[in-house]
Amino acid sequence: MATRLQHKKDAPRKRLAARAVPARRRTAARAAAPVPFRPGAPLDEEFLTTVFRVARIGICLTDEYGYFVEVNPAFCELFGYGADELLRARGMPDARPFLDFVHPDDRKLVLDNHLRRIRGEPVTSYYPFRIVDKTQRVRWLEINAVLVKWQNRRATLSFLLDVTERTALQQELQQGLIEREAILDNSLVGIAFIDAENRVKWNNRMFEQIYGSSRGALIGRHAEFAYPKHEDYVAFGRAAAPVIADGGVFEKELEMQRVDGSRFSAFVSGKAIDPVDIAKGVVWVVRDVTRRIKLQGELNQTLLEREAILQSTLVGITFSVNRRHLWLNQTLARMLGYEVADLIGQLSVVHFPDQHSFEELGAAAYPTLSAGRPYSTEEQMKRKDGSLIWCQIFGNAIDARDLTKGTIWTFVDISERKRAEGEIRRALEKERELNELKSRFVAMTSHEFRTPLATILSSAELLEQYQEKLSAADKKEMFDSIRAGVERMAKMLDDVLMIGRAEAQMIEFNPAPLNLADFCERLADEIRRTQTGSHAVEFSFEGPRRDVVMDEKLLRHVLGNLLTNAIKYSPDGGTIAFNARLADSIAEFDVVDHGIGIPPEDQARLFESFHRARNVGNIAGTGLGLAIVKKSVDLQRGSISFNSRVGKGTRFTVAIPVG
Amino acid sequence: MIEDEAAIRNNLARFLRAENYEVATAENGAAGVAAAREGRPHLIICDIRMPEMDGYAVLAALRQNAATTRIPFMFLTASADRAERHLGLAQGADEYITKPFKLPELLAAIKRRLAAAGRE
Repeated sequence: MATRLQHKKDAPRKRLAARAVPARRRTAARAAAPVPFRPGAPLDEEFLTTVFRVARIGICLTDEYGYFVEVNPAFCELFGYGADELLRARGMPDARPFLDFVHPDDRKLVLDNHLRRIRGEPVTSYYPFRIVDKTQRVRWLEINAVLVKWQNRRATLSFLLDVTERTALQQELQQGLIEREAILDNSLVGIAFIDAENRVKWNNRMFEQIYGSSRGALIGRHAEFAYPKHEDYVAFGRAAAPVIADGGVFEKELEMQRVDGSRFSAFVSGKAIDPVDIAKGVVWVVRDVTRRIKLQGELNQTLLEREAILQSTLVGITFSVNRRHLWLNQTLARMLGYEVADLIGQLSVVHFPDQHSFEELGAAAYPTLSAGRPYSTEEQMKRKDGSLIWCQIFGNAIDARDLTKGTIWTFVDISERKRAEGEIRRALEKERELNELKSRFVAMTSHEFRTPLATILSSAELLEQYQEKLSAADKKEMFDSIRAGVERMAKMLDDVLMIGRAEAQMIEFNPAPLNLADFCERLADEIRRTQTGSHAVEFSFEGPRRDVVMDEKLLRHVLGNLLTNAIKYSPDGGTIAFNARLADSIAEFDVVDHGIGIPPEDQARLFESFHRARNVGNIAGTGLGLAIVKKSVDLQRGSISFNSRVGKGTRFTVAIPVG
Repeated sequence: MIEDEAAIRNNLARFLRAENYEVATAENGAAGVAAAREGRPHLIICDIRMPEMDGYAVLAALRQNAATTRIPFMFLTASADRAERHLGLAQGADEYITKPFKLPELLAAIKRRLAAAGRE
């Protein structure tokens, strides 16, 4: 740069020195050099030449056709050309006029201004225009030109400033402002700048939309227009002022008014432009939240309704995560005997019967839930008071892929159903028992009637048809068999009727004075008489007295059957011990035999009707005797027990309260 | 004759002997099967409800044995139920006679079975 200036400096200086300043002035200046400055003295040529050469402003002199006559180094620098390149006289092959360097878009502007200047019309001094420099870069310059005489010809002296950078900054700034304005204008929130007098100084488009105003109509309006009532405005101001004065952001949701008077819910926030000087105004941001408030209201309503439904349903519901109750309804809490608050946050193990059942349900349910299927089961749950209830439980994961998002469980108390099921089961069991009893009854009666009938009928036919072929002993035996058959049938009928009346609660307990010792003695004799085998019945009686008040008939059923059985089930004979002991208020009887005994498997059902032990063989019997004994003991409020060993014998012990 | 009820057993034995049949008796199923294998009777009359081994078991045992499988077999039973009758016949009994019975009817059945077996 310096080299170039040095290289070019001589020519313009010489020319300027030769042409711009008269010779006499130059001489005078030289002569007056030592004397003090005189203000207003004409500038000498050397001075002017120096200014021309050194000035940072581009200076050029052009002839009436616009061709360069003189340029200074600053000008050369602006345009990027050397002085020798610019200073070509018109008519030379590569001579270019000033306008040639001007940006094509600005040529008209520059030419017009030049023509105006020539016509003597005013021209803006230092107006901007563009040139294209040697490197083809566009530069912004400002130009001021004056018409001068040069060598008696019209010439133009122009001064040019480089404003490229300034212009760029300006443009940038302007663009920035435009963008910011656009952003603010297009913002989805209303923004307004309210001045110290509470008037709208500026607002964006959305602000107008929110308040239902036309473009620009709010500027200058007092902010009170946005409030339904004066008091609202005052109250808002009172609340907001201290916060804003403190440099804070004031936020509030409130009802505001559009310019047409309609109301809407607004969320407003405001902040001072400069908290130190509130008078500079406040920027307010406004959002119309009517829709949000409405949705929130609807949502709240929905939530309330849902809550009400969930709470009032008969189904217990819980939302649990990792088996901990995060939410549950009152129905479930009540079902389990707790308050809702007792269970929130608790592990559900608290209402399982034990740790094991809790873990078992988890192990069963979680594979199903994580496979995306609902899990259903019936489980017992433990209430707070420790009692157990049956629940139908139904679980469904919120997200099968991630069980930690929780599971909704519903509980239905099915204890009643379970109880009913139990009752039905018991009823069915009873029914089954009755059916079994019935078939046992049918089988028994069939056998027990038909067998003696067959005996009687065949005996009768033989005695009638084959008399002459029968011996006397045969005949006696056959008559005996007829009698025995009839007795057997009669006994069975008695037993069946007795048990039937007992089942129907038709047997009465009629205690009456009774000589117990005599009664037992007679009974023992009777048994001895009627039994045919080789049995001995040994009777003993102990007691301070002999007279009691007892139901003789029932007692006969009890002891008669026990003694008959003792003999019947001792097919090999032997001694039957029959002991009676009378205490103050109780009579005790033992009947002890050494017979076949009762197998343990049959002992539990021994007193059931028609049930006979498996080891009875072909000993005839109805299976009713001990059932009658039991019923008769019960009617007398007594008790009966026995112990028995197969092949060794049986001891029955009966205790009956006596009057 | 396999019958646990002594009076009936005795009466039937008297009757059949009076009718000139040879009669062997047993008072339970097991004894009856043994006697049948031993004596190879021409006909067997058997009760159903008996201790030790009931009539069905007796029938099965006899039918399984080549020596006794063709012997005509009659149930004489107090089980009069229609289902039991069907069951008895289905098991392979030739006759199913229920107690009480008339001696001439029993005799007719015996003769019928013996004739069918080519014994009379």
